Formats: sequence, structure tokens, C-alpha cells
Amino acid sequence: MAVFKKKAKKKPEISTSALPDIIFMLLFFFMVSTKLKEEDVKVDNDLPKATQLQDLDVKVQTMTMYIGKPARVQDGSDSRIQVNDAFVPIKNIIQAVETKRSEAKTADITVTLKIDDEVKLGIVTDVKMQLREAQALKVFYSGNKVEKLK
Amino acid sequence: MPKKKDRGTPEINASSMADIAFLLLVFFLVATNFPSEKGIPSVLPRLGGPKTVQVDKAPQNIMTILVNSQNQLLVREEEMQLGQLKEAVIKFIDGADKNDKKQCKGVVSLKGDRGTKYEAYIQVLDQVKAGYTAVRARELKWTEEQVLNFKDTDVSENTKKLYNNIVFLYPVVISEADPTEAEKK
Repeated sequence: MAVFKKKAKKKPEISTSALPDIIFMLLFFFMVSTKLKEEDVKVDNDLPKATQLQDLDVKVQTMTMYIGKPARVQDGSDSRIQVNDAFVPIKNIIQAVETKRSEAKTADITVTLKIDDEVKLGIVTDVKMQLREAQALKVFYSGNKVEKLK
Repeated sequence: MPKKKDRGTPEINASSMADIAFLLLVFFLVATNFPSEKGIPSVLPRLGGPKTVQVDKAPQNIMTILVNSQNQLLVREEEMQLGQLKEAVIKFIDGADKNDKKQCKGVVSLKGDRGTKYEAYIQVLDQVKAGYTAVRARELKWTEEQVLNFKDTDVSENTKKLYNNIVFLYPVVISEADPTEAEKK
């Protein structure tokens, strides 16, 4: 039997020179398609699933309001409202809306309600009542789109 | 004098470029999120305005939906599962009277409880809207997706007219009553 002497081959090196290009591509994708987080959400925020969701008009001035159980235990276990990085008691909502209005320089703002699916309707109703008193009538119930409800 | 060596251009070591790019990438992954503003637009009733929506009291023109604190549904005095609600809404719209402008007079009255889970309430609202979307889609002979995602930019005047007409004929009138208080703390 003929014996082939195995050549001591050096393993070919994998060229990694294209790696930075690939990473840069990913980087640019994320830079373009995402936006900086504006606030740190301090409450649980699993949005309810729904089918009839529409896109929010990008041109409108919005104010985001989070409602949910606080994420940290020391903040208690009752649902709380968060506006701009801070918890807001229900009676201060009108004031928060006014602040937002003067920042946006328009009275016409849409309030995006990001409410956790476990929240009880009671607090939501109270918030809606306050919004009505503040004359902020346009609301937007945020949700996660699903094709069919379970 | 020493002889100058022809050194050529020295190669720049680019192996750390990937690390730098990774670092930036990780920063963007952490500090950003996808703008996912999807939701149900709604307009709250004006305070101090007319307290009640003008409703034709005829039973075929009003659909009462109650969601109790156990998230169960009572639709027109009958218990119902969420899955059946859309069909019921479609039936209701078709059965409701029309005024002299052929506008549907149906009003959906939605009432929850302070103990109702928000998700259950939103899903009921969602299914009511789904019913209206289905009827509008049927009348326009469009798909439901087309009706739902309709934007008045990038469409012809004619399409806009058709759509606005359907919205006029089948207005989504949902009256959200103050919730009951079964769950007191």
C-alpha cells in the first residue's frame, strides 16, 4: 500500500478583515431604525394585545403616560402613574398636562397611554377623568399587535 | 550617511476596528428601542358637554356590553365569550336602524367595573372596533387590513371619498359609561 506522506499543512487562517464592515452595517441599521429611549420606565409595562391597532400620526405632539405596578418592590405594589421619569399622583395629572402643553407650545396634544395589561380599570378611569378635566381629550391606548386574540 | 531603506507604506493594524464597532453597536442596542407606537386612538367625551350621547332608545339601536370584575362579558343581557363578540357587533350594526341620511344609528355602550382587568376592557373595545372594520371592509369590498391601515396620503381623491363616505355611514359610536364598583378596597 502506498503511503502518502501527509504534508504538515498549516491551517488556513480565516480572514476577518470583513468583520468590521459587517458590524458597522449592523450598527448603521440600529442607528437608523431605532430611537433613543426617552425615559426609564419604572413600572411593569406589558401592553395589552389587540388586533385593531393603528399607527400614531408622527406629526402630533404626544405625552406618554405609563401606568402599572412599580417595577421595584420598595415603590409599593399598587398601580402607579409615571410621566417623564417620575411617579405622578392622580391629582397632579392636570398640572403635568399643562407643563407638557407649554413645552410643546400647543394645546393640542395626544396622550399616549401605555398601560400594563394587569392594571385594574378603576385607576384608568380616574386618569381618564383627570384628562377630561385637563381638556386633553385625544388619547391613544398603546398595545401590541396580534393577528388574532387567543 | 546611512542609506535610506525603501520601507513602503506600513500597514495599519485594523483588527481592533471590529471591537470598536462592536462597542458602538452594543451602546445603540442598549440605549435605543424601536419606535413602536401602535394603539387604539380614541377621543374622550368633553367634560361639561352633553352628558349622554343622543341615543335612539329603540333596542335594536343600542348594544350594551358589560365587563364585570371577573372579566366576563354580558352583551345585550346575554353572556358571551370574547371570540363571539365581533360577529355579534357585525350583526348589531346590520340590524340597527338608519337615519334619513342612511347613517347607521347604532351605539355601543361599554361599561366596565373598577376591578376589571385593563386588558379585558381593551380587548372588548378592540373587538367592537373589529366589528366596525369588518362591516366597513365588506361595504367597500376591501380587505380589513386595508380599511384599518387607511391613510389619506398617497391615495386618489376617489378612494378618499369612498372611505370617508363609509366612515360617515358607519360611525363608531362607543359610549363609555362610568364603571361600577364591585371591588372595593
